[in-house]
This record gives sequence, C-alpha cells and structure tokens, in this order.
Amino acid sequence: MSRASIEIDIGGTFTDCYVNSGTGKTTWCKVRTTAHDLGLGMSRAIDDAAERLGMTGDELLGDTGIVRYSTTVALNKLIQRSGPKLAYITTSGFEDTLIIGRASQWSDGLPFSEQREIARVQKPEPLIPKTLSVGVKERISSTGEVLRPLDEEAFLKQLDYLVDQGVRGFVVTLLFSYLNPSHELRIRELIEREYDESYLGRMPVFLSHEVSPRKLEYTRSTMTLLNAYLHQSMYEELVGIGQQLRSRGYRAPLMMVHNTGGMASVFRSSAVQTFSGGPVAGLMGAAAIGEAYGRTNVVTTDMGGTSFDIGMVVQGSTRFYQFAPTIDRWVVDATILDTKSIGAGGGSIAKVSEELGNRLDVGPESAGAVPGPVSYDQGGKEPTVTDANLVLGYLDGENFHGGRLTLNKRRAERAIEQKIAKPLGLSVPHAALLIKRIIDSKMGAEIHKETVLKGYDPRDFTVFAMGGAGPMHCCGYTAAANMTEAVVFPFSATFCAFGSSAMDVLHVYERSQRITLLKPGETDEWQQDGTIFNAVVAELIEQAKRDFAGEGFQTDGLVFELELEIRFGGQLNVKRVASPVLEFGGEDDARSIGAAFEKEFSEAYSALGLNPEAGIEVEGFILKARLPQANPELPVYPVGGDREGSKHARTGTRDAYWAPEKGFEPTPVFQMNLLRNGDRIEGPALVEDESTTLVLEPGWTLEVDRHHALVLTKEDSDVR
Amino acid sequence: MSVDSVLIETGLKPEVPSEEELAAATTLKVGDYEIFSENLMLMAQEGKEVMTKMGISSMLHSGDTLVAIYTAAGDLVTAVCGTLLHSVTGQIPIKFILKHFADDPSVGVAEGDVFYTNEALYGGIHNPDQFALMPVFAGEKLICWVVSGAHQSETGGSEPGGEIPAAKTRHDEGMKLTPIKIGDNYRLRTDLLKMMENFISRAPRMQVTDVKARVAACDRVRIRIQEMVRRRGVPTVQGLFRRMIQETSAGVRNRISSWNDGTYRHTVFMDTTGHEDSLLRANIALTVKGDKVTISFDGSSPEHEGSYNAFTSVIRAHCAVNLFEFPFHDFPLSSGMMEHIDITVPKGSFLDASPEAAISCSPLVGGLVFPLLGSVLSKVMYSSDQRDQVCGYTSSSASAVMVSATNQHGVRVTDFMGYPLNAYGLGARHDMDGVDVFGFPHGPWGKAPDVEDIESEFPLLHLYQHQMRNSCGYGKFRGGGGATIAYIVRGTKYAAFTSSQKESRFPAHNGLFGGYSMTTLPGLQVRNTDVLERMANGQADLPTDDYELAVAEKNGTLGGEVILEHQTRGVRLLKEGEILAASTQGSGGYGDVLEREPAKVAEDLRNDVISAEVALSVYAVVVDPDRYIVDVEATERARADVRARRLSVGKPFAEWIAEWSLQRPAESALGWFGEWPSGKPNRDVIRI
Repeated sequence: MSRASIEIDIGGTFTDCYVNSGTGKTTWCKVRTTAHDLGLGMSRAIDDAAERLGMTGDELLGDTGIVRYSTTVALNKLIQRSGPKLAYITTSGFEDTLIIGRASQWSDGLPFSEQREIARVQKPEPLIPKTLSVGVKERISSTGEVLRPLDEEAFLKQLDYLVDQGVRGFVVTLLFSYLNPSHELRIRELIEREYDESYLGRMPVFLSHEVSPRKLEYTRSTMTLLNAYLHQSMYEELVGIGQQLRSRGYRAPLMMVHNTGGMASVFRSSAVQTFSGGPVAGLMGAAAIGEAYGRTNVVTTDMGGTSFDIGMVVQGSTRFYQFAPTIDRWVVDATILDTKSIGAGGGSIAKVSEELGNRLDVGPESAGAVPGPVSYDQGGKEPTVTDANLVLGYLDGENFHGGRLTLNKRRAERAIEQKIAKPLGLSVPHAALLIKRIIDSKMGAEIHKETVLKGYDPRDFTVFAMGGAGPMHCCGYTAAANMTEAVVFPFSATFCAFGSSAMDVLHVYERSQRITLLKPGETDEWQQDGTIFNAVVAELIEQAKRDFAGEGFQTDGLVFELELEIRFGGQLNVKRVASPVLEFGGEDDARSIGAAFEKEFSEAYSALGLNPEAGIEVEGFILKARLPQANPELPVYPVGGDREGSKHARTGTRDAYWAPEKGFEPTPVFQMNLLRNGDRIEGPALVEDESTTLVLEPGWTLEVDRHHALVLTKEDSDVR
Repeated sequence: MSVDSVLIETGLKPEVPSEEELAAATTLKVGDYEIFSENLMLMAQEGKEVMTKMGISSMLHSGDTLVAIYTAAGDLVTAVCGTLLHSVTGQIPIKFILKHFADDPSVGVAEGDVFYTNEALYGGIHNPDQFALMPVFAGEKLICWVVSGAHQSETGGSEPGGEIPAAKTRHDEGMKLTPIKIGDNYRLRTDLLKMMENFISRAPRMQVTDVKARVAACDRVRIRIQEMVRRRGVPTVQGLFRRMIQETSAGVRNRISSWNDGTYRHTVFMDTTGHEDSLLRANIALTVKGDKVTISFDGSSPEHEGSYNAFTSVIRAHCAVNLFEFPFHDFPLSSGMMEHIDITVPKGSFLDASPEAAISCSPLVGGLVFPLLGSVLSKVMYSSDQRDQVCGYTSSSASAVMVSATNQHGVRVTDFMGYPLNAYGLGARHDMDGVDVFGFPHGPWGKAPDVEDIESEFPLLHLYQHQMRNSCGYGKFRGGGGATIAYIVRGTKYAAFTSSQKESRFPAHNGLFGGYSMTTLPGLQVRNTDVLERMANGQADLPTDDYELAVAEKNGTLGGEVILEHQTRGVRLLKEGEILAASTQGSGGYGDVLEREPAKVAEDLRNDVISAEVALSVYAVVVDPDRYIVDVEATERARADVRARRLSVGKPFAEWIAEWSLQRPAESALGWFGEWPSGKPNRDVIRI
C-alpha cells in the first residue's frame, strides 16, 4: 500500500519539496525552479529527497499515496501577459466595466508610496482590449427579474465580429447573473451552437455566475477573466506534470493546493484558487502543528528575498480571509485565506533621503533576484538588508546557501559606507545595524497591526518563522511586534511545502443572498422563516456532494461549515462570521447568528459601533465542504541535549555586531542539524543551516524541543 | 456670530514649539525616528480601516475620509487619507477648542472626552464633513489629538443630500455643529446622538452609525498612542511629533529653493452661482522667492447670492491637495509643509464669502483650485528637476448627484452616487496621456461602487455607465476621459435628485501648454418616458450614452420629453420610469493637437475615445474608419493646411493682446462677475 506523501511548492526561484516516507522518516530539500519545464524541477526535487531517504525517485513515487502541489506560476503568466486573446461579453451600456475597474484601478496592487505619485499613475494594461468588449442587449434586475429580453439576433452579429477578430475564448458577465443566469446560459448555448468543436476547436466560454456567483459585477468579471486567461496554460502545465509523475510510477491523482486552505484534484482547480497557494499552505501547516506545541495562537511569518508574508492562526483555526484580495493589479472577490504581504525581504533597498533631513528608509523597493544585493556581485549598486546582514557578521559570505554561493563582503561594506554610513555620520556596522532594525520594526509593526485589527492581543501569539530570511530576522520582528516567543522549524526554509501535507480536501461554495435577520428600528423583530436560508444551504451542499463524488471521493465523511457575510443595515462592508447553525430553525437561530456577528464585530472594531437599530442583514453564504485528511506527524527525537550551550553542535566563532557601544563581538556559531532535543543556547549566537541562518539576538534564549524545533523566547520586548 | 478669523488665517501654520518639544526632538536616538514615525502611520491606518469597515456613507468608500494625529497644540503630525483636504482642516477645530474651551470649566478638555464638529466656519470645508476629535493624555498631560473625519451625505438641510444647490444662506443648510463635546469618560452622550438623529431625520441610521465609526477610529488610535507612551515615555513621543513636522518643513523648504524664482499665473472661470448662470473669475498667482511660496487669489470675483461660495479655509485645504499630490507627494503629511507657503484669499470674494453665505457646495468652488494650481505648478515643475510632476490634474466638476427616496426595502435612503464622483479624468502629462475615469480628485484612492451594489440599495436602474466619447481635452497628449451615466427611477414612486455642479456652459480646465480644455456637459432628464416598457418589449435601439439620450425624443427611441439643463440642479422629483443623466467630464490635454502621433489618434478612434469628426477636424488626421489605418499622406496634407491657416491669422502678441483686451463677454454672462475687467464688487449681496 502506498504510504508516502510528497509536497511540492514551486516558487519563482526555488522548488521546495517535503517528503514523509510514511515510515517515520521525513526529509526536505530545495532545488532551482526550471521555468521552461516545471515538471523537470519537480522531478529533480523528488529525486533529491528520495536520495536523502536512501531510495530512488521512481521507488519513492511508486510508494507514494499523494502528491500535493502549490505554485506561483499562474501569477507569473499573468504578469507576463501571455494569455490567450479573449472577448468580454457583458450587458449593453456597461462594456467598460473591466477597463474602468471602479475608477481608481491604477492604485490596485500598488504600494501607497507609488499611489501618492499621482502625476505618474497609469491603469494596468487591460487583459481584454476595449475593442473586444461587447454589450449584449438584455437586462436583469436586482431581484433577478428579466427587464429586457436577450436580443439573440443582435448578439449573433456581435459574436461573428468577435470571432472575426480572432478571439480564442469568451468571458461572459451579465448584470445580476448570479440571481438569474438564464441569459448567460443562453449565450453559451448560442456560442456553442454557432462555433462547435469543428470550428478551430471549441472556444471555451466562461460564465461569471458559474465561476463566482457573487454580487458586484467588477469582481465577478475579474474572477471570470483571470480563470479564462490562465485556463489553457495551467491545464497544459498540469497535464504535463501529471503525465510525468505517472510515467515514473505515481498512480494517485495530483492534488492542487488552493488559497482557500484546502486542496482538490488539479481538474477541479480554477486558476484563481491557486494564487498564494504557497503562503496559505504555510498557514495551514502552522495550524496543524501548532496544536502539537500547545500553541493554538500563531502568527506565521515568511520572509524571502522581496516580500514578507504574514498569516494568523487563532485557537487552531485559520478563518480570516483577505479583504479585497488583489492578484497582480486585479481586485477579485475570492475566498482567499488572509496572508498579508509587504515589501520587506533580504533584497529590500536601504536609502537615505537628504531632502528629509537624512531619513533612512528600507524598502519596499527591492533589488530582486537580479541584480540582487550588492554582495551578490551581479551588478547591484544599492545596499540591501542582505548586505547589512553580511556586514554585521550574521551571514557567512564564504558559505552562503550551503556553500553554493559566495558573497562579496567588501563590496557590501563599501555600498553601505557610501550610501548610508557617511550621510548619517555613522560607522559602517552601525549603519548596517540600523538597516536591520528598521526592516525588523516595519515587519513587527505590520504583525502588530494585523493582529489587533482582527481583535487580538499580539502577546497571546507565537511567531512561526519561515522562509530563507525568516530565522535571520525573527528575533527582531517578534520583539518589534511586542511578542516574546518565536519557533523555527528544522524545515523552516521549506515550510510552505510541508504545510500542504496538513491540508484537507476542501471545496468552497459561495452565493450572494440577502436575508434580513433583524428588522431595522427598535422593534426587536427577528427573522423566523428559514425557507430561503435553508434552500441556499441545501443547494450548496448538494453541489458539494456532486463535486466530491465526481473526484472519486466518498461523500459520507464530508464535513460542512457555514460562514455568513453579515452587516448592520446599510453598511458598506460585511463581516464574515462562522454560523452557529447549518440549518435555520427559527427566531432563536436568528438571535444566535446575530449574537455571533455582534461579538466578532465588537472584537474587531469597537463595541461603540454596534448598531442593531439599523437592522442586521445576511448578504452572502460561504459553505466549506471538507474531507478531513490525517494530520502530519512530526518525528520525535530522544532527549540528549546540552542545557549549557550545545557544545556538540558548536562549529566555531564569528565576529558579529550586536550593539554600537560594544562593537564586533566573538559570537558562537552552531550547526542546526547537529542540535539535539534539550539543547539550550543563549543569545547572541548564530545557528546555520544549508538554506538559512538563525540569528539569536542578545536577550533571547533558544531551546530545542523533541521535534528538533528551535523555540526562541525573550522575557520582555522593548523595541516597539 | 463669533468667528475666530485670526485663528482661521493663521491656524494652518505650525505653532511655535515649546522648548521641551524642541529638546525632545534632539534626544531621539538614530533610527528611532524612522521606526516610530512608521508606527504612527500604521496606527492611523488602523484607525481608518476601523472607520471604513464600520461606516455607512458612500463617501467612506469613495475616499472622502481622514484619520490623523496632531500635536497637543493642534499641528498635523501624520495622516492617512482619504482626502488630503482634511489633513489641514483638522487643525483649526483643535486650536479653537484649546483657545476657547480648555480653560472654560463648563467645557474643559479631559481624558476620555470626545468632541465633534461639522461647521466650516471653524476651519472646515462644508457641513457634510463631520469630524470626531479626541484628546490623548498621558496621566495629566495632554500629549496629542486624534481626528477622524468623513463626508456625510445628509445634513438635514432644506433639500436632501448635504450639498444644497438651492441654498441662499447658511440657514438652509441644516446641522452645523461648532466644536462640541459629545462624550466624556469614553462614553458618547445619548441625548446628543438623538439630537443629531433629529437633525438628520432623512437618514438617521447613517448619521448615528457613522458618528460611532468616527469615534471608534479615534479611540483605536488613542489606545495605540497611549501604548507607545507607556513604552517610550512622553519626551520620546513628543520629540517624535516635533521631528516629523521639522522633517517635512526642511524638505519642503529645500525643494522650493530648487525652483526658479518668479510669479506664475493662471485664470479659470466658473459658469454659475448655483442659482443662475454667470461667469465668475478665479485668479491665481504663485510666487516663488527663495525658499518661500506665496499663493494669491486676488482679482477673483466677489461673493454672490447663490450657493457656490466658499471660505478661505476651503481654498487653503484644496491647495494642500495639489501640493501634497504633486511637488511634495514624497514627503510625510505634516503641517511642516505650510510653514513655507502663504496663501491669501481676498475677503468678500466668492472664495472667501461672508459667514452668512451658503457654503455647503463649497467643494465645487474649492475644486477650481485643482486646474488653477495644477496649471501654475506645472509651469514651475516644467523648468525644475521635477518635470515628471507636470500634470494639469483634473477638471473641477463631477456629476455629484444625490438621491433621496424610500428604497425597495422600505428604508429611507439619502446618499451621493459615488460613481460619477469617481469618474473624473486625469489631465495629460508632459510625456503621456492622462487617465480615463481616473477617480475623485479630493481623494483619488476611493472606489466607485458597482452597479449591482447601487441597484440593490437604491430604487434605481442604470441605463448605461461607461467611458464617454469626446469628453477629454485634446492635445499632443490627451486628457483622461470621463464617464457617461444615466439612472432610471425604479422600485419607488418618486425619487428626489439634486446635483451640485458647474461647467455645463464653460469649462474650468484650460489644458496645458496649448492642450485643449475638456468638454462641457449639460444636465439631462427624460420625463414621462416609457423606457421600462420599451426595455420589456426588447427595443433594440435604446440610448446607450448621453449623446443618444439627448436626441431620444427627436429620434423616437424613447417616449416622453427630453430636458437639457445646467448640471447645477436643485431638487428634481422624478417618477418611476423617468431618467436622469449624471455624467462626468474628462480633463484637459497637453500640447499642440498637431503634434499628436497620428497612430495614437487612430487608436483613440478605435477605442471610442474620440469620434471620427474629432480625428479629422481637431487632430487633422485622416483615418480609415473601418480598419483604423492612418492615411499618412492625407494627414500630412491636412496638418499642413491647418498650419497654413494658423499662420494666415497669426499676428504679433502685442497686437493680439490689444485686440483681445477690447473683448467683453455679453452682459448677461456678467451678472455676478463684478466690474469688468477688474472683478471688483459692483452690487449688493442681500441675505435674509
């Protein structure tokens, strides 16, 4: 019987792999992503991991029960604008919905500093030009009533025009189609009738009410468009990868990680669901193993070269979703688990503004992978966070990335000296320390804000530090967030790949439907009739069962969770609340849903804002159908550590700079994979691994636990 | 009426810092300033998010908001907007409270107090803009203030919507609260909330919810600041505040010093008083001398009896928008900017009218600053290192339609239609076109609502809503286009509309360096029409934009009567099925139309930005209307003809100016202009 599981996370630079052999052994590795053929890098990663387990890749795949896969490839394709030529079909009079994009579309997806430079802003290049957008003569009302019948004759002429222009697919978003899809469905019938498969192969038709049956035509349009735009290339890529795995002995379906926090077979995955798959997998992994550590409140942090991602697990659950999620430059209306990303990473550029009295700023501009930090010797001229870490002695320039790269320390010193230290009148290491402190503070402040905005006290949370740069900065940003504990796992650098092993098979179904729960006024009149509520839920459950059965799963074990989008009457924004009931039985249920809403609302914003006199309205339903999978189990290692500094793991001493008043100090260096259960190290210290370095700052203590995770603690924080 | 005019004149300048503050600013450790200033901005951001997510008014969505932190003396330290207008307007109410109430035992300023104001005479813009203000204490010491503000779309005036085009005096404009204490000990007073509900009885739910949203935002920031004070101590926080003001001040001074000295002038005209057609002139003269800038509006027309007047604080706040968005877009938002900029607005002009004047529509007047200052700053920027900041910004008018009705759910609703407000085009730049349907210039980051959102909450059906052909200013680089929008009343027997507008007869944006002005737009209504029946019958040729709507009666595509009027509209009561168009114009162009690349003209034609007539008659470009291919030779000939014509009518500048100076507009256009050409007052203004 197949027992192993393989988790793959394909990023722009590295492909991460985490393998659980099913016999108590786990391993992980990183290989270069092969952009021209992603399957190649994936195969190499599997071979590399198999070798670490003492077997061949084919043997491993033959013994594997599940391969789970997340990718950022869809985003790259979007950025490169390499999708097919599509047409946008919408209601007559509203043809510009996509290119207007709620007016200030130019600001979507841009950092605020760029948004403020009004004289240079531009809207993003549209994915469908205006000339391929047509308005169909039809109209549905806000209650789903047909106000103007579909003019089929006129539409067929428009269709001929679009096909003459060479379009290869259709994005159809009619107003209020989520309430009444009859015109969208008829349009598909007409397209398929006129241009069947014999005509240049069938041109796919994407209907907005099927992709995203939600109110608001702009985001329903972007959702439909992105799925259509990426459909073909994703399909080809995934089929290719699936074939490659099968040819090497893998027999089960390839599962795709979704940003909803679950996974589904690749053929049940739409493109929009795959964005941010990696960070979400990391979040899910944190939720799964957090409990094993007795830490159910976790902030996940992933610091890479250009960005810093944050996610939150509260009481073991990950149920915060992004507000107005934006993919590239397009705002979408998708249920994407909330992982906030800011421009802060090893490549973040430090600069001094003379105009602002020599103010030092770090990020959000990044040197990226190319040219990268100055010390990479690839032409970078601007000093970065990585350069600062090198100057401070935290990084070993001779042995970067397990010895695969050498960093030019002299060049980093010169850049910091010229561009930072001299203008500020500081020594070079002092300037480098400031760069690190500022970037740590930015990240810490963001963690603090995200935590409190969701109604929580950061001091009740533990930081899980991931990504290549996470362990290097976690002491700094944890303290800056006014928190005192961080955990670094041995597989932190491939944590997102690990995280997908914690995911259930999950489908999310959404529907906009307005129901007044409490009437406005002071009448205390609650909804008693559950007909509409129950009909919506029943329909979503039926749909879920059909989909799971279609994927070959038993539906008996399905678990359903209902979330409701609720607001006080007239409010612009809804708050998503876990519904205490799946079936609505009467007034008591209305009251209990209302109470859950008020509780979450006051925790997140303020009890001052409770306003039941305005009425309480349900605006949307989100049903999660979950087929639970076994949680990953981490190996347990015997006690054998050294409470007095882990001498067995000590590999040497390096001069590192911790405080201007002390200068460079000899700092002990340890090898991460030599640490043992029970080891205890006091900062300052440096703990090295082939893909990261843990910087243990003064005042922090590291303890190695039974899973060989490194638990870092500080009594109190004083940075923020 | 006791107006503190000294405070209004001087309140935007930073107060003289205390010795204690100056000393504290110098004791900040290296790096602390960068870290803590970032933290302060995140606190304000958190507050704004709280307010936006809790509130109701559509303007929260559209960006007419602010959360900001001020020093104990009332100087702006940092702000998150929303609209940059309010970053400066928050100062004067704080300074007023400190000056007049702090030592008054019947009011006082204490920990847990909540103040509230919406009176433009106290430094604001107009009474729809409501602000909550909270003092922040460390023990007994007042260390700063937090202010949150947002536009409220109803004020209980003589007509719905907050902006009252028919208003004659302040007494028609509803609730105007001088700074009052509405809460103490962190509790809001129910009696005062009830009073507000009583004033705002067209939309009481919106009023109370949004008051709470503003206060919750202030309170959230207050908590964060007090946490910082506990960790860092009062001197560090005070030093930080002072340093933030100093940094902006130093940066602005240095930048001004890099500009060429000189006086840069521009003039625009407004075409209505809100009550009647009249040309009103707004002049600007911006003088750069060393490290100082003075901006003068001298020579502007006198105040009038209509509703389109403003106060000096309105004009100054609009200046702050342009200054913070263009030459100083990369500086922190603090009162340090105003230290080097003096703004004079002539008293008795329509830009600084008597306190009795109606001013609820003052953003329409203040909006004149966008093209005025946009033009003179572009002239300054062009010859500086900041040429990439050349941009005429926007026109000064969007179709700010307000709707009041009982909606399809039986709830009384009154609100702005956010889409037209967000549909301004952005003016052309020196090296590229403007932006079509760019946003709301007062708060460019706001969002226009979806059709499905509006139709679910209001008894309205959109007939069309898309970019508007020929609405931009033409030029070597064209301005951004606006949007054409029409609403049908549906789901209620009657709906009331008002719109506070201008530029139906005369555009207020002139384009830059030879670029064209954008189009003017009439107001359109269709009464007693049968559009709903025609839709149900599947009529194929229903109007799809304003051009088609304007001729719908003549062409028989709609039954009923088409009315063309000025977009300034007092209340209009429309029956179910009747139509009101609310379109928004584009913005001005840059440079000579003959220098626009012909291929770009063809592209504009293909994208329906311009018509074939404009391509030929304005740009002199000959384009195949089916394949959008430029006939290069024919275009060269056409352009040569235009140049020859220009030369044939050209004359020396002095000669032309001599002729031009003799020109005079028709008497009917000068009703409230003032004396021609000086603009000095020439008639009495009577308000009762």
